[in-house]
Amino acid sequence: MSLSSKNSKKKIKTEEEVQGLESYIRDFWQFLPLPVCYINPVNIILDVDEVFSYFSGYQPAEIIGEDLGKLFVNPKKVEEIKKEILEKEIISNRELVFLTKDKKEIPVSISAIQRKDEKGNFIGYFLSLADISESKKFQEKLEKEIEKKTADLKEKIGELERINKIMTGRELKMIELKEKIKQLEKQLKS
Amino acid sequence: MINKEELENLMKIKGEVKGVVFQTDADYILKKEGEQGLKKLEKRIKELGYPIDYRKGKALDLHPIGLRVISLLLIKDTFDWSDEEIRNMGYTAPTTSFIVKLLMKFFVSFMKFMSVVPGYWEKHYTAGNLEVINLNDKTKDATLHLKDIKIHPLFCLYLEGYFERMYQLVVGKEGRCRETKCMLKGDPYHEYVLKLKK
Repeated sequence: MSLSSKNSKKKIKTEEEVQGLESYIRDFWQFLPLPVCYINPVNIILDVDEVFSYFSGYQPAEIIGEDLGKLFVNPKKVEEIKKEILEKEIISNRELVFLTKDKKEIPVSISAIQRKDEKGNFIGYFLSLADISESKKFQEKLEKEIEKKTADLKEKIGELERINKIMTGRELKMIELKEKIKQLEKQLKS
Repeated sequence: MINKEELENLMKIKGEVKGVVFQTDADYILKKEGEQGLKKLEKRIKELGYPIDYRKGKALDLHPIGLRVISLLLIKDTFDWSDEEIRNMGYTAPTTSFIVKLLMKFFVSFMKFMSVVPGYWEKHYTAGNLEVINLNDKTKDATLHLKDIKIHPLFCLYLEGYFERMYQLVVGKEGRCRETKCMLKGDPYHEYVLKLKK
């Protein structure tokens, strides 16, 4: 087999591998059940999966190229999170408030992982979101219930204290009266 | 109106293009015209006898470079789109291109990206050479020269939109791209000037 024929076969094999990779990446991004995006070091969104597009209300072409901060109620926190990713390489469960295209605010939990090039330089990060509105609602409901129960309990304690005060006052009065009776009896006897 | 002779002449141009450009065309048609729109375009392509497969074509397969422009011309004609819409197609392409995804590691900074621009062109086309002429990291101004490729004014416009979006992806701000020189107007190369919007 000639060298050029060998090279040609090698090239075809590499192309097939890359095409396999292309199909794998497409399928994987379509399958991901979570909103995921890829961000570059200057916080520009470079890629989003379909779920992210659905979740945010933006078409990929509308949101790719935009600053990530645009998608959150407090963009300063996004900067803080980026600093944390740079330091720790991987972070999870940071809470932020997401802002959809129609300005709906959704509490989310964020996880992210840093990407590096072959020389170890920071080249961006993957970021995933989890909608925590339901657990937030449940937490708020729980907190309200606890607050209500605490208020009820405080009221009951107050009532008990009042009764206790009355009872104690009555008992003291009884003791005082008994003492007076004793003194009167003594006076009568003498 | 499409002129068959013009299309045939385009097919004679030397050079090849990667199939990824037809994938990005198809994505844009689906968004703008829906499934029916893409079917309409496929029907026209088939009738004219050009081998463009918008659905099953592989991103890295090579095709005659003339097909790149034929696709743009037929899209414009089929949907009666303006030149501005074709520019917008170019502007949208980097957001869906598989090759752009493969090259994301270079989207880290303005200077880093500009240093790989010539290779970036080669990843898409076997004809033409893209060079970075002026570069200013402070102002983020850049000038690109595209040489040895003379295809069609619609392609120049498409590239103007394409370069504009690529530029915005690396600078993270709104920018503009203008073709200030064009080989089709007698200039020795195509010149694209990239600047931040003021």
